[in-house]
Amino acid sequence: MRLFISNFKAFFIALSIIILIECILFFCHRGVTDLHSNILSFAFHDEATGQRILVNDKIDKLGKIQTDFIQVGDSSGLFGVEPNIIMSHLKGLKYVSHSCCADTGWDGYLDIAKNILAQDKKAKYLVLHITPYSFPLQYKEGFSNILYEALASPWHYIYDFLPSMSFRSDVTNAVYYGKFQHKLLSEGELSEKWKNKLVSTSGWVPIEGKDTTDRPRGDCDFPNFFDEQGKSTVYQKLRKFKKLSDAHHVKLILLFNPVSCHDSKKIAPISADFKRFATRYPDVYIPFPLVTTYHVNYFHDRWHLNAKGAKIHSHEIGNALVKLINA
Amino acid sequence: MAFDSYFYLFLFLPIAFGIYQSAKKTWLHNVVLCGASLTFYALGKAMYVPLLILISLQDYFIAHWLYKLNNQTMRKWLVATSVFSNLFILAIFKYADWFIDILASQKKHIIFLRHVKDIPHLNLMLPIGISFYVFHTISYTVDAYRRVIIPKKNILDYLTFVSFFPLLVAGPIQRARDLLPQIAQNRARASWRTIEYSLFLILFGLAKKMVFADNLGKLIDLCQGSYKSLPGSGLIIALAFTFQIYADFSAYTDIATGSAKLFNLKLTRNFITPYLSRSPSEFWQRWHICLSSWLRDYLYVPLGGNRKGAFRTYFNLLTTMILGGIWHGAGVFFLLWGIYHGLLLVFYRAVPLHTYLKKIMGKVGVLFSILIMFCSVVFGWILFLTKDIHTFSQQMSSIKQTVLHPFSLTGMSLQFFYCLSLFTIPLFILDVIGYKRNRQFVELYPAFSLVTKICFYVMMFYLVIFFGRREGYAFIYFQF
Repeated sequence: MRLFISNFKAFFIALSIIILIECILFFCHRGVTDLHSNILSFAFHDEATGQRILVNDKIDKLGKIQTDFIQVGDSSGLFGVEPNIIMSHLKGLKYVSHSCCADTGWDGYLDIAKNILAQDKKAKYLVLHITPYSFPLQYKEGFSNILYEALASPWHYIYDFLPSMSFRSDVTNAVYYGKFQHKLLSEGELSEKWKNKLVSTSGWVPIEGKDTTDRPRGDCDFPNFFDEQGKSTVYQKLRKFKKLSDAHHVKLILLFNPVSCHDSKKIAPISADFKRFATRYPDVYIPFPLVTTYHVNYFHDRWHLNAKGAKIHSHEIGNALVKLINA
Repeated sequence: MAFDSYFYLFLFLPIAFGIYQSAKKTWLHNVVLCGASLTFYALGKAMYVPLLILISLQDYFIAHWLYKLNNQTMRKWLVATSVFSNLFILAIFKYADWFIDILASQKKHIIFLRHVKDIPHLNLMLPIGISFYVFHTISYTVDAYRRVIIPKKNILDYLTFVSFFPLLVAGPIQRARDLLPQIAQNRARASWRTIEYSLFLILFGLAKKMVFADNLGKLIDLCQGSYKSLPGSGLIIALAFTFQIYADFSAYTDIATGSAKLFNLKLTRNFITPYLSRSPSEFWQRWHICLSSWLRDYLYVPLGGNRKGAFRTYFNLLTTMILGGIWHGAGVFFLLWGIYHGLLLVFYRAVPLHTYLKKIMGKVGVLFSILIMFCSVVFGWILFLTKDIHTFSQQMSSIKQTVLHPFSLTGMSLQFFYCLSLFTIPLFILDVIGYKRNRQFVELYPAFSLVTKICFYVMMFYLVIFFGRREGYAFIYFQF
């Protein structure tokens, strides 16, 4: 034992100094802020995508709300689902959208859901809202590795409680730009007004204008979702969500964004794959078919509904959820 | 499985180490090590485990025959079979598609291919670590052929040597004569002192990777494609990559060395302050020492080394470096990198510039020769990093602009140079400290005072917290 202590003396003294520094910072620090985060980059001139800032701000502003429905998924849910409309159907139940973007990857949706479910003990339903255009493999992993690190890795518990993490932006700004400031100098922050709007809309962001070149009509043809061995990636990923919802004793709801094209033989393998999942897990609530066609005027582009389309879609979701609750 | 993954650091390594330490019988140590190594490999890609075992077994039996046989012709055939079969397997996985591309581009000139529409690619996935463990097994058979080692009867010891997990994915390549005797002997469990040093090596490697290598990698990403909009970006990329590859691979080596030490196994040194070399031959005695000494002993020397006159020496140097370049991957620029280093070696052998400089200018001459060698190495890394001729020419013209008109650099460019210095100067200082004692910096750790050790631990922790990149890059040498 004496040998052990004498050999590890440096390590343990260093550990004690680190704990002491952290304790001092704990008593004089500013509290956990939105910049106490590993989702953001803080690297030199790293203009990380707005998506990362959005995920961070959604978790910061909406993550602590105790809600009944937690929605995760791609940007079809960010622009196409208005929680306030849905809540008008739900008679007091709360619905929050944590949907961001396909860039997070399906593992990213999963890690966001894990993190929120760990915070929200009141949650009863986990909603996965996706467009058939964003199947796994198209985006592969996106920035899911960053989300894993920040939200689900073993380290995140340490990072979350380290007071020095709150000073990360100050230190990096001081070293890189000579400015000891507590803000995102490299990435450009979202304004407080914008963040408050996120809270008032429960996570919905309207999309303006339209991209007339990207609203396909006729037969649907979705991107490939098979891996190199020819196995379906959708089924595997969906099963992970099912496992997560079971682990937290919440019901999984799978919602598809409408599309402007029509069901066709081209998507038969994907339909069959969903059917396989639905048959294997009959307790997952899937109120809409894989392909629900809306008129092209309700779309900004193939992925996203415009505000008009979002209103219709949200009412439909609201009605479907009422049926579920009453069943 | 990456060395910087949670799975390796918090689960695999502690469990393997725990079982190893608790094994009371020494013969159990290699059972644990071999089992852990094969599990480690299987966790990466289980389908390639049989290939690893097959190659290992082939060379195990060949080495035994080599030892028993006295017929010199038969022995030559046997060792050739081992070397060529290993290299053939490596070539199929690593170079087949590259060769197919070359054939496809030249098919107009090849009679029997003229009427072939498409030559399909094999699209084989490179088995993890094949470039490294194939070199392990070749060293075993060749050493047995030379009767430098006595082949081990115990197949477990041999399999542990080939598959030893800290070396399996990206080296450092160990020779049978160095590592196998350590594995075969009854060794004691690691002492607390060794374990503490291992801990430092692993933490130091992780910090070096996350803080220095990955931030330099990001800097390269930011500058790539901005040759016109960001003056100086060509030079920034060249210098950043020079230090990134060093920090990255030496970090990997530190973690591998630390992991091996936990099992009381000492690996041969892979780096010793390479960027302070005065000549190309000194550089190759300091950079990726395990590969360069392997190439020297198993390629350069058998080719005749420097024993057959000046021209044959030049030819041997060029051949060795070309093959060394190609070993890194299938690509024209790896080939050019090899040729370039070969020519540098030839040039310095014909005109020992560093010797002249030292004679004429003394210590200043030594400094000049280090600077010249450093610039030569940086140019080599430009070739190594480049993927196509267009990018290469853009980068070179950007560097030319920067060198000819240094005052034309914009404020933004200067900010990038400042950031570059943040992540390169500390590495350089550590190397200078090591250079003065003719050691790699990490080797000095056991001699540090208590206060210095404490400072290092605290500093490494806060560097990782504030500057460590959470979205790091894979170790560069994984791809080879």
